[in-house]
Amino acid sequence: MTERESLMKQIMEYSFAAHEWNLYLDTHPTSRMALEYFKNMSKKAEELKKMYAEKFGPIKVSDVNSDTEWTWVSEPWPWSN
Amino acid sequence: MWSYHKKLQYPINIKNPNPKLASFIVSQYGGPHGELGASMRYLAQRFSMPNGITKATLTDIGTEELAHLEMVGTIIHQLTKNATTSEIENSPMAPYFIDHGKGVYPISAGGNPFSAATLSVTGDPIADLVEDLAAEQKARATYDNILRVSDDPDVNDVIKFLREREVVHFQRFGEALDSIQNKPASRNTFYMGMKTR
Repeated sequence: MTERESLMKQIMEYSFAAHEWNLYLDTHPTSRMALEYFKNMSKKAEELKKMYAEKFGPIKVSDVNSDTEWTWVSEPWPWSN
Repeated sequence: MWSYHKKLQYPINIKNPNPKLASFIVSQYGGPHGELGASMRYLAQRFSMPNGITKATLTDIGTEELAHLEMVGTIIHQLTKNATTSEIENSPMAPYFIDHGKGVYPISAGGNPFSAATLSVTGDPIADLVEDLAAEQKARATYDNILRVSDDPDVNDVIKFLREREVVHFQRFGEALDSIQNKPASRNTFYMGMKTR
């Protein structure tokens, strides 16, 4: 697994964990434990996404940081392997 | 509104072409229990929901279903992109190929294009949420059927993830339904085979 793939896998893991707590909180909005987990998981996911965007390219359009090129169009797209 | 993240919810890396399997799995893209219908059903039903719990649950699960639509599309793409014309011609994918080539089109395994008739929006929160519970079980059953006919571990790993999501959604919809029927919901477990704690 390349460094890029390994970082993306970690992003998927933390984003998924945050999403699971998101759905749980939708039906348990006063669970402080779930809120704590959600915050931790999404904070970690955001940090990793920022790291990925700096090294390998944008995940969201707002990640594009080049002054000379619209890097959003760069490969790979999620469905390629 | 929505914003796109250039990533899949779960990694997909399929090594071997298999147009036959693609022609089965495409049903979860545009078939009667597929991800497109799931997403449209939940996102449309939101507008007549009475409380924050039901609105949030339908919004967030409806959004996750769009991510699943992308995953199923990715499976079809990866199963077909390196298939030869002869492999496709001698598979059940042949009729699909004539109209859609190696493109990903929302259609059922039986050849019916996506239809909004596969979902329901009644404007009645109880009727809609009960439909959603059934929809999750029908999607889960379809993934079970796919696992019965697929022996590719790269594909099955992803299908098992998607199957598990249906189980979780069923639980959350059960809790959302409870929030407008009985309170509190926190002690109920809705998935079959699990005891109420």
